[in-house]
Amino acid sequence: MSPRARVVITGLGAVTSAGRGVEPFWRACVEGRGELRPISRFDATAYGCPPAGEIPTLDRTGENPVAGYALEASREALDQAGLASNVDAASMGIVLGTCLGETGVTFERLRAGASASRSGRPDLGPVGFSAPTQKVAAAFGLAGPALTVSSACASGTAAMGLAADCIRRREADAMLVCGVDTLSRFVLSGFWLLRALTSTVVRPFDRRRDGLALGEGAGVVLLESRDRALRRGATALAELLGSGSSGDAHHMTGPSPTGDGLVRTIRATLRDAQDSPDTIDFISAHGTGTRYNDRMETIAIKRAFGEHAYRIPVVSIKPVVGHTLGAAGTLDAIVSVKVLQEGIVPPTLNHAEPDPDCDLDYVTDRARHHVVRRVLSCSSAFAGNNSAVVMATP
Amino acid sequence: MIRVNPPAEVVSRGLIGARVQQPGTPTAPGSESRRMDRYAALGCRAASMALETAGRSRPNKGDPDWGIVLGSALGCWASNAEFLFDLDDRPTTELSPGLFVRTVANSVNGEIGIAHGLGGVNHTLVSGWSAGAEAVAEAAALLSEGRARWVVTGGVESPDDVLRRAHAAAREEDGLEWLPETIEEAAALCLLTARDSSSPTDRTRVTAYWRGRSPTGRWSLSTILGHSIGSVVVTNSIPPDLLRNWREQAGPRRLVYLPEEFGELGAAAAPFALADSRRFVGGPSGGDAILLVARGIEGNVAALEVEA
Repeated sequence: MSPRARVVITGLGAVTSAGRGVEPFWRACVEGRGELRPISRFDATAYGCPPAGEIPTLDRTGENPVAGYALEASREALDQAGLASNVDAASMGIVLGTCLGETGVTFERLRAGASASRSGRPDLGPVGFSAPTQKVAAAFGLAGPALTVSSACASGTAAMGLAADCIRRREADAMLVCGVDTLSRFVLSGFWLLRALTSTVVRPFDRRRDGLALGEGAGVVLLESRDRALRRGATALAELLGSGSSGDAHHMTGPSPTGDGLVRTIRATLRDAQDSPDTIDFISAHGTGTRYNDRMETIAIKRAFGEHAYRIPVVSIKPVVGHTLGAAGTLDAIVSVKVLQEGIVPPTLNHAEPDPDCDLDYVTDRARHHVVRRVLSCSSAFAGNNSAVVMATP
Repeated sequence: MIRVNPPAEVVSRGLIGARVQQPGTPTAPGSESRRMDRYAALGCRAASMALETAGRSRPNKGDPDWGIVLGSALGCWASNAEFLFDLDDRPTTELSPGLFVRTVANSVNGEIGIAHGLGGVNHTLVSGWSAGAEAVAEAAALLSEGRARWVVTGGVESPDDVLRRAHAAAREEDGLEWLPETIEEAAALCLLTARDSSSPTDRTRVTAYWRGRSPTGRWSLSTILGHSIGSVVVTNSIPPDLLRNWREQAGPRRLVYLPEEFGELGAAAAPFALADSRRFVGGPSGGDAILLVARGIEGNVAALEVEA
């Protein structure tokens, strides 16, 4: 293959429980303001009425908002990149990461159908994993690769890596990267069954942590080849240096207690970025607030970075907007880009009591000014998937 | 086309499904299926066949050199539907956490990884019928970049009865009568590695790929047809007028329409054609290479240039 193209980030977009747009999301992160509230969309009594990052302005007409969130965030990213009115669709593609896509629409149709039973004749539309990808691609007439990746909660970060590789291999000049998922009874009941939900507040890396809170929304990152961005005079917000993924090969829901899979991912990502561990000065962690994930993640970071791990701020934004599943990775990437741009590291909200198993610098009080040049953003998921990306100041 | 250099070689294959089965292989997933849904069990069994055929001993747990890159249009849909029905039919306390775990599309990657200790690159593409070809392309690229040494790749489809009926209904109601009446259950996986100087010369190779989307639905085959292509294999169902158009563009090359013989295999179609590509060698134009073209009904197109 020919020499790989360099990849920069020129646009960001977000829809979260903190508001429409990147700015309200980022302000909530920096101010340490949790945007979790009781679920109003459906009756969550059977699941203990847990807090969640629900987007209150959801269109309640019954249409699934997945593609709507993805489109809205994509427009914001394209607008920031100066491409809202002149998308070069022929050389632009999309990678969308999602747990469920629009399968929710399919299921709602099944349930609403006249014969909503296992034996009845259902009235179904598209099956739905790739439906939001196609809707976004169609809205902008994209002709480049249009991939949908579903690596459970690592989908957004996996999408970042796959899209960057499309540019590096010169399959496209620009790629929209979209992570998206919605809050539903389906997902809530599943995490409730696994006893993974908090009944109080999300406390990543805290001794008292007792589970996660779900969220929903979309995070979009626009990637471009550096050459093209320079040519058209676009502002590069950050450079994406490398990516990596792995499988734990351990257990379908429980992370490897030794952090082996995440260690492999971090090492592969640093190798792909041609970076050494001591260059990383911020980590956007998965940090779900579950006992197993946060302990595993801490162990993995210490194994991958050695003594340097104690000098890296490690932050989770899950207490702010909840665990947004497929959107989590791209929202983490947006936070990472803002950290690089503004030199402000947001706090890990609700962290008050240190856990001997989690002994890194989680930025526990308030946002801090900190010059950051290289960030690592990582995600882990059911089925043992891990993904990570390294980004840097342009 | 994006050249894959060095090319990715097919070391071995695992094919499961009524219409793609290798002679002498079991028709149903093995005993590992008890804790898996059919989707994961199919993929796991096909992966086992490929790895055992290759004579690979079980790698160390979580071996970073061994990756898994799979594609599926339907993914874990059957388990998702079952969980949804249970939500309505059963008390909350009787719902199964084990079933919920199967409602992630990457469950098949997880099960294969656990069963065989594969801990390297790991992706599950669910872009529609083109997802299998997209996955093979991704695997080939990762191998050529040295980011894995072996990758289990291909496509898995496990439609349930509800989905089959839905497919039939959509076919009748949406003017898609050219679609086959059903989607076939199939798993078609290949073990790929990057070609090197010690490789046997008779292995099938992926030498280039293309991934994109047709905004108009009228994507032109001629944009990626090179002189070396002797045969074109259209791996998925396409409208008759588009097929006529592609036949014209293929010119003297042999054009094979896979659904005619094997039905609609979804994302498993292109990987199956790759695994069985020797049957497509030898078009009248004299070119040696085979172009496998997967087009989904949603407009994605993915192509693999193969030397068999």
